[in-house]
Amino acid sequence: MDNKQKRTFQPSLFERAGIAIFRTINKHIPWYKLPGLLGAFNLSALRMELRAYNLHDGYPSASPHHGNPQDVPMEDKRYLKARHSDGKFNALELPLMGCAGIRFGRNFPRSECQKPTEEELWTPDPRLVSDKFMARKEGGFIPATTLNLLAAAWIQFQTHDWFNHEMVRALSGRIFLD
Amino acid sequence: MKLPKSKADHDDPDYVNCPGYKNVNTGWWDGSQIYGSSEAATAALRGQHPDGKLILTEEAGGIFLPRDPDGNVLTGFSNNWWIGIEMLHTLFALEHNTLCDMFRKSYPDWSGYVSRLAF
Repeated sequence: MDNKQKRTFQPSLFERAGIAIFRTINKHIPWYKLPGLLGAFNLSALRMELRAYNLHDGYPSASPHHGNPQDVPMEDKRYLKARHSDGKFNALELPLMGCAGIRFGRNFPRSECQKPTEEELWTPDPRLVSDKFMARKEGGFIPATTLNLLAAAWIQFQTHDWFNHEMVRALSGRIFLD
Repeated sequence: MKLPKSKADHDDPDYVNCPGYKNVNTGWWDGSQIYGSSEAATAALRGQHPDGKLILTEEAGGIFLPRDPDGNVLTGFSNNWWIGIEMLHTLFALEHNTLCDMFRKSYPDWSGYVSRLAF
């Protein structure tokens, strides 16, 4: 297992300076209280910081999984300005980044996410966790008064096209709960 | 209750130590729930309309998303469907088609194929 996974995105010296400056400013003033243009630069710095230090590749290395311009040529130049529905060409140097059919990025490096044993996986048992946290306590139903079902619909609508793992379709691959 | 298992991605030999799973959707916030996660899906949802409009069906009572013969809704991503999610998918499809009309009126010489809501 590689402990030093190579980052897909490395901020330049200039970008790292921007990240450091805005970190200092943000200790006193959050980005949304800065004047418009400065706030926009602050957001850009936050984006670079999160991308560099908080987003890790789902693969051990970018090559060959994220592709390159030689192997994945852009068949139609209109995708320089229009979205490709497969999710390709958002990054021209890594044309397959984030496209349908490749792994989703993660917030922890792979070296910190070793596969658990069966015992670790079932301890604590998900059912126990569910019973402890989801059980309705004495006093019964507590209504949510600050939001309605549309909030759930809106959140699902915004995020349900984000990731959906490939499933084992065969019946033998299913986990049975009873 | 049966839950389908995620299929482990064996494309990389290191899956034994750190498993990975393929994402069948695009990983971007790119409106793929409306337009689908492949060029073919988008083309099917748009039909042959020259302005790139999404196909909607007009029935008594209003305009609805199209459905297949089994009654499943035809949209970009239709897992875990319920009335709330149908409302929002319909709303955004209508918004898409309204903007197509607006752009056609303002820019008669544009090709319709590229039009797509931006998120």
